[in-house]
Amino acid sequence: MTVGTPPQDGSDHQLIEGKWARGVAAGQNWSSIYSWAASGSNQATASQIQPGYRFVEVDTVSPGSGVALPAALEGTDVTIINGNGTNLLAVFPSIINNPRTGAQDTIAGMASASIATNRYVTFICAKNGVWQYPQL
Amino acid sequence: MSVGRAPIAGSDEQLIEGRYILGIAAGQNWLATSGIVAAGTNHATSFQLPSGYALMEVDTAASGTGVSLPPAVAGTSIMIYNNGASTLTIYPSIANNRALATPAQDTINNATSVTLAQHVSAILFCAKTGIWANK
Repeated sequence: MTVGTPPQDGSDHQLIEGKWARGVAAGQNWSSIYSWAASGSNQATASQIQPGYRFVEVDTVSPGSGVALPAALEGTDVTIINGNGTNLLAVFPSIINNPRTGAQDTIAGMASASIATNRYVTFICAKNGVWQYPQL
Repeated sequence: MSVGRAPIAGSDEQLIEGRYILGIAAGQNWLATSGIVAAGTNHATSFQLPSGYALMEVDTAASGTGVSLPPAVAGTSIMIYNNGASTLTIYPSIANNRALATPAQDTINNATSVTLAQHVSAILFCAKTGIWANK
């Protein structure tokens, strides 16, 4: 986050700093994290990305390794960046079943996707359990 | 919407739950709708998508059918997924855009429609009222 002071986390209702809120509207205050490390070689052993980040840069990608998306909950989008310059990044649905559907999530009807080196993909969820991404 | 409690709808100033608004910043609290049914065979007869949703899923798309975007108002961004059985045609809003000084038809990528293949999603945004851009 780059502009203003974010609100306190938690369930309390509170006054929100105008500068921070306007920064969100301006695309300056999305929650992000980098230096994430991919792991494993399949869904069960992939590195589970935690919810709460809109942009996740995966910088450590060994051959065949991957990450697992957060649960596909409607109204969510998350952008995964493969910041590694050498290896393809595998992307799997969340390792555990979706808390709302009780079943495995899917990614565009598939069990995984991949992101080329130095590329990013935005995954969106308009229906619980289903991740989609632009395929142009 | 998946995190926290949303504010009361309306324009009144009010206290906002911190968890909810942080969820917006984390991309977890977009307003979403699914189960949309595409309709018609042209711009005038297509299904008019509502304003107020950032993520929309079209689940029924028979051959030749389509949807129309909400009015292109600067600062708007939406994402659409075609989960139907056929290619979906996306048109600008059916009615002329009344946010323009002289109401006129919106455009998408400087055209009158775009198509979205089955099981493909698209991001559309508007930086200038009247003009949708489609990635």
